[in-house]
Order: sequence, then C-alpha cells, then structure tokens
Amino acid sequence: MNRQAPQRRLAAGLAAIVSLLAGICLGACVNDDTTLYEVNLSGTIDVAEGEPSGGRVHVEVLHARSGAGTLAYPLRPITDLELDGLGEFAESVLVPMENGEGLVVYAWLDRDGDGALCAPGAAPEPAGIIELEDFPAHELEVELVLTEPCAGPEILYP
Amino acid sequence: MLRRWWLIPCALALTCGDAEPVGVVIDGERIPVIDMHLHPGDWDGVPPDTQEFLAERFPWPFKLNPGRLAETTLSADGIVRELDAAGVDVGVLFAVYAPRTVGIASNSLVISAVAEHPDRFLGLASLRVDDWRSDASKELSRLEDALGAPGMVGVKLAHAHMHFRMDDPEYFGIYEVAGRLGKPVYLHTGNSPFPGIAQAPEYTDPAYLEPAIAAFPQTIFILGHLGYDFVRDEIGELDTCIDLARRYPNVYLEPSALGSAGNDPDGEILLTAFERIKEGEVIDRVIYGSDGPQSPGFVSDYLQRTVTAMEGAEYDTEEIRAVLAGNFIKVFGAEAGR
Repeated sequence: MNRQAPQRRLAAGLAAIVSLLAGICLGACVNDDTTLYEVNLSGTIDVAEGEPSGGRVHVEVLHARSGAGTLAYPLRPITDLELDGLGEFAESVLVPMENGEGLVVYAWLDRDGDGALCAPGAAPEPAGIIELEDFPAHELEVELVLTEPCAGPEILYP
Repeated sequence: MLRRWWLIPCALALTCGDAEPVGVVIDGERIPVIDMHLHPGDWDGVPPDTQEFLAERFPWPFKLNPGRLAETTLSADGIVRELDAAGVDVGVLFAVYAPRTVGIASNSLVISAVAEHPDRFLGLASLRVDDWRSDASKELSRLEDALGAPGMVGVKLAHAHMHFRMDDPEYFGIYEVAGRLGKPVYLHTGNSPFPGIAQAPEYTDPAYLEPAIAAFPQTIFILGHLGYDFVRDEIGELDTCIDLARRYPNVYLEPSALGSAGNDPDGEILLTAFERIKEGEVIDRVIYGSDGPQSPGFVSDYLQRTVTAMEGAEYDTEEIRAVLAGNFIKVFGAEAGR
C-alpha cells in the first residue's frame, strides 16, 4: 500500500484541485476568434414596373451556406436591415467569416406597414433574393427586383 | 376539488414484483399515460452553437461533460429509464431535421429505437426541407417510406426550426401525404430560445397554419406547445390554438415544455393554459406530451406538473384520462395506444 505523509497528501490534493480548476477554466474560457469582414452594399431594390411601390423594405443579409456534413444548410442569417422605401440604398454590414460561405440578400416590401410578410388575411407583398457572386469583396452591388408574392427566403434559394 | 394522486414508478412496481401499475392513480383509479413528445438523439447530431447553448443550461456538474449526459439521457435505453421512473406507459419519439437549430435525429434513429422497444415507443417521422425546390419529391418519398416502418404513426414538423413558412403552399404536399396515409402531423407552434430559430410570426404563429388546416380536412394537425412564447415566457398564441381547435375538427393541442420548472416555477402558466382550454371546451382535443427527456427526471416532473395543473383547473377523472391517453388513442388509433 502506498502511504504519504499528511502534508504531502494535502499538497498533492491541492495541486490536483488547482489542476482540475485550471483545466475547467481553459476548457470554458477559451473563445474562438471571429473575423468580421466589412462589406459595403449599394444598389437598388425595386418592384416590377406598375406594381404598388409604397412601404418600408425589410432586408436580410445571409450566408449562402453554413455547417458541414449532414448539418450543412443554406441561408444562415447575418443581419437585418430596414430601408425607408424602394430605390437606391447603401448600407455596411459586418460578415462573420467563420460562420458560413457566400453572401445572399433577401428583401420584401411591407406594403401595409404591419411588419409581417403577408399576415393572415392581408394583401400579398412581394419578395426577392439575390446571391452576390463577387463575395468576398468589400464593395458589392445589389440589383434586386421583388417579384415573388409572400415568399420566404427558403423557397427562393437555392 | 383536491384529490390525492400518485405517480407509480415502474421501479416500485418491479420492487413489488408487479409490472402492471404504471401511470397515474387518481381517486384510486389507474390512468395510463402516453407521452407524445420525446426527443432521442446523439450529441454529434447537435450543431456546435446549440451544444454550447445546452451545456450552459445543464446543471453542474453535468455541464462539465454535456456530451456524456446527452448520450446517456437521449439513448433509447435512457428514455425507457425516464419513462419507467415517471410511470409513463408509452412514449412517442420524434425524428427531427433541423440543422440550423437543434440538429438531426434521423428517421432511421427513431425507427431503430422503436424496433428496440416496440412495447414502449412509437415514432414520428420527419423530412428535410432545406433544398425544397429541387428535393421536394425525393423528401416526400423518403417520408412515406419512413412512415411505412412499424410503429411510425405520424409526422413531426417545426417550421421555426426548419425555416419554412406555415402558410406556404409549396410545402402542402407534406400534409397531403400525411392525410392520405392517415398519419397525424405534430407541429411546433410558438417561438423558441434556441440559436438559429426563425422567430418571425409566419414561422411561429399558428394563425398562419389555418390555410393548411382548412385545405386538408383529412389531415390531423396537432399544435405543439400551445403557441407558447418561450422567449418572453408568456402564454403567447394559446387563444389562437384554442380558436382553431374550436373551428376545425382536425385540430388538436399539445401542452409540452411551457410548464417546465424553468419556464413556470410556480405552475401558474400551465394552470392558466388548462383553465383556458376548459373554458374553450376543447379538453377532448388535448394530447399530453412533455418534450423530454431533456435532463434526468424531467419526464416525471412534467407529468406531475401537468396533473397538478389539471387538478387545479378542476378537470374530472375522465377529462384527465382523455388528456393523458384517451385523446391520443382517438387520434392515432387503438393499435398505436396499445
């Protein structure tokens, strides 16, 4: 049987506790780095000619793809924007590069101002989506025409 | 009216050498229990963001090794242990395809678990909708195949987790398949605190399901979580759920998760829900589920909380029997209810 003096056992016990705590802290406290890539989006969001054009525009910027293997999926949200109306716009977004690949812009026109795309009983509102093939680049142009009534991004892409 | 009731754990039954007395006993009468909402799975099928989210919520010291806890609790044998401890006769396992949020528990995983414990489990199948424009027919065919496996009695959907609008007719083929095969569809309603959830109302508010409910009268729609607002911990869209159940005979309700100790420490939320269900005269549409196993003891605790809430809302024995098993058997068939 292996015996130790009380002081040595105490010291060994303390060392074990300190090691355990350090291990837990290292496991819990190390953060992954995130690289934020600035992208200036500019261009035009519009509806087809002759369509009603009043209302605010809700914009979502998304990664085209995220995850790996069976957990891969399209359209990981990055950020939301709200524009005063259709037409020209310019906005900057920070893209976390580790979270996915590719860049997609989805938008819909809030014609009735209720903040919801095609709420039950409401008139149809148009939506559209575009993948920005030149990403990654700091300056990207967006030309998007909203033509799809009541469509969420998921049914428009890929 | 306050009555005495007991949950009779299977462990006690085994100790006494009698395998029969499981379920809930109210006024001396045994009421069987079917828990229609259970999640099997494996830790590797959970996305990294959600692993972190879950690990933060596991009690210490389990959070030091969350993968091990999850693997133990979410395995078929682990869930059977939870059912035994709770006195639940039959549990329904959900397949899930939600790579953005909670991850994947495949149809084959559920089918295997049901085959492993055919006397204790039934299963709901699901499908991927990530690439619907090109994969719809293939996915619907896979769903049909999964629903043909023994013990697979219905379909599980979660629009907020899977990111598709509740009212988008492009996806209505799922309800067509379910109705044609006589397989009820369980739908997550209300929002969710998990990372990656689509929180907009068209993905969470059961009002958006009405076009599908109306278009597929032969399909049973079970509105999970009663439209609860898990982000703000509020009742949420309960009244919408009750209204839909009153107006459509193919709508049922399921009260899982909202009454957990974390969401509802004093039981007031679940009590309010069961009171409103009674006021709405739709008790015959409520099917019990817990949303377990989550962590050891959750399945048992949720059953106790539910019975307490029903007693608080003055449900009589027959009404409690209907919620805990009778309505499930009515919807899924006597064979499914065994």
